[in-house]
Amino acid sequence: MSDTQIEAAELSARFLDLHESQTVFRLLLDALSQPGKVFHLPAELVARIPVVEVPLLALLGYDTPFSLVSGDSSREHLIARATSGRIVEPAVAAYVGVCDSRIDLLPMGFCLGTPMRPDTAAQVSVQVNGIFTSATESTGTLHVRGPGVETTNHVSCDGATTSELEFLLRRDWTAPRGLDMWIIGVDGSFIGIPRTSHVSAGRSWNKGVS
Amino acid sequence: MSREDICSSLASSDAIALETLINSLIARGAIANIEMIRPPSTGTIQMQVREPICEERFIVGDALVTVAEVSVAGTLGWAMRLGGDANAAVAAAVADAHIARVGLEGVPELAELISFTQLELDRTEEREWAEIRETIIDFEELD
Amino acid sequence: MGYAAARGGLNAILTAENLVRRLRDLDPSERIELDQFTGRLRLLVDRVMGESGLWAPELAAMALCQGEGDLIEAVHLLRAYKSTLGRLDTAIPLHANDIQLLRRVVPAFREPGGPQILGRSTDYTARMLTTTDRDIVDASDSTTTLDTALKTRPSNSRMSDVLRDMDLLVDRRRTDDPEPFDITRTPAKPPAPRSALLSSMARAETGALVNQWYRNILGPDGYLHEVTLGEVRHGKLPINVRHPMTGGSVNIGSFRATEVEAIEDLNGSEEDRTRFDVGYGFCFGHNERKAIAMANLDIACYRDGAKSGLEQSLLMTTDGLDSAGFLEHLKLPHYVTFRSMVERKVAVRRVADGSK
Repeated sequence: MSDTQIEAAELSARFLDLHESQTVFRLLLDALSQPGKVFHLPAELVARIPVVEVPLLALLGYDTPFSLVSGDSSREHLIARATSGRIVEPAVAAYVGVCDSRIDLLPMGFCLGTPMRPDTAAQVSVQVNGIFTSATESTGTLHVRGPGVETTNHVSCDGATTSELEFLLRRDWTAPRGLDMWIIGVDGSFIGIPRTSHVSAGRSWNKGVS
Repeated sequence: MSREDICSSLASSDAIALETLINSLIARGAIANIEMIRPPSTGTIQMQVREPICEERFIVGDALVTVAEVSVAGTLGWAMRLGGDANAAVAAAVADAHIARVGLEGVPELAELISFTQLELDRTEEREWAEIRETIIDFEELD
Repeated sequence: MGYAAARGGLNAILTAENLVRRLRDLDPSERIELDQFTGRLRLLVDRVMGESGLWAPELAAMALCQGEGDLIEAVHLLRAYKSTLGRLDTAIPLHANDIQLLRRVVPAFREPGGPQILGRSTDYTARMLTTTDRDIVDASDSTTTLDTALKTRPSNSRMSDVLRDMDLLVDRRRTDDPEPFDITRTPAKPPAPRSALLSSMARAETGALVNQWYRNILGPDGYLHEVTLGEVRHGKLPINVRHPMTGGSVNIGSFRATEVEAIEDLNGSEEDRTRFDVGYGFCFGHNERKAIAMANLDIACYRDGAKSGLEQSLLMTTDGLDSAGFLEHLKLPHYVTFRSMVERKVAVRRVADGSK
């Protein structure tokens, strides 16, 4: 395939149709309203698009400021072409995709909003190299509590290292500021962690290979 | 003719004539390996005007458009047309890609359609002006 | 104000809606085709597009048809439809001088640089209602001798430029280029940038703007006096967008607009009384009433400098959908509100009677 054909194929893959957009939007919303519960992105999207980009492709509209922290600016440009979003620096983006969760910017380096305008905080899609499954108190990698959770949601992320998930324990903001996040595994499994959730290390936290 | 001028003509071409022509070119194999990159989507474009008093821009509103992107044998094509006609937008995008690939001289039927479109636009312009110029007025001031 | 959480009546509501559809669509008269709206009721279609902020003649015609000719209803339908569409791009900003004139009159000057073109106008027509069919005049029957110098359209000189050349115009041209305020994303409230005011007025309800202007001429508000009109124009402007692959400008068609310059005689103690200033009006379609009112109110608002409530009135009370929507919500059940008022009155009377 020529470069142009590759570009055409990659661009074409990133256009979400109406039903795909609606489905992803609903999933993302449900995940934030039920923190720590495991959801799955549609398999056909996972097969054709890097998982971290799916929320961006569903949510970005014309001129929406976004950033894809990936080290590959061509992917950012493909997202901009597909959505008409506007590429900006990560610190001021309304939507951010993070390919490697071990970066220093995560979680406090993005826009956290202000007490008067908490709605201006970024929404962040983070990829980890694991697979999310529901767990129990004894098997869970993460414990999630807070609004939307009746007691505690336990979740495992098999295959992800602790260094990939540590950013969840470094969240240090005062409500109503903070990030709303979706943490997405390689297979499209994901959880939503809104700014109001309390996340702690589970009993199997140190069982991952570091 | 520049690619932009060609696109402009394709945006104004009669929708049925354009679709019919593209379909016939596809049917006889003159245009092949078409891939949909961006399915036709109808939306709006924002329109800004710079007014002449303060030279300030303001938004007057939006226009309804339909946009489509295709690939023809690896060459990307794009079209945007006023209104909601998805088929016409796709046809124009295919034409844009194909002409970018083979040149206007490589597809005489499209060259003819584009030329005809320009001619029609010019004729409409002339007819319109011919009517309007008869209303030119020169008032006399009374002493 | 309190609303009743009312239930029931779903069948009656559905039947009422069905009644509208049935009586509209099954009327024994011939069905109206959309091109009859765009061809023979063009000014109405233009008004709907102007007040909904969307250039889409066929959709505006559909909205008028569905709304049974109710203009505000048609605007509501078109704006609601627009809200379901994504914004794909921003057209390359155009300059008002890009207009291809269909009509141009300059009441202030007899020779304003370039010809005055009456165009399609009934300004000088006696208002005689035609009650019979009339033959259409064949344009080729015209015997007017044409000035050969005007076989092509003249350049777009402007009355305000004439005033500038005579050094009679206050220069308010900006050297910065601020991004225009988008009233579809953020509601505009005073104090708002001028771009917000122009956008708000561009899609305001025509009658509201005319009323705002007139009440300030003859009514108690008295914020402004009559201007002299400079340009009154109707014409076509190009819609240009960027080709994503080449970055070059592509013309995808045109839209029509009405444009007015209103010349204000400056007479304030802190104003430059040796010069004029100009207000600007611009709206979709052919709607001179609206553009004239808009130009008047633009300069009035500037001169007012937020001393009065004019800016607030323009920003917050001239949108047709806002005002009609609030007005018509009064038709919804207000049982709680009214019952509480009745109970208060009965209680007050009881106390009054008891104290006698």
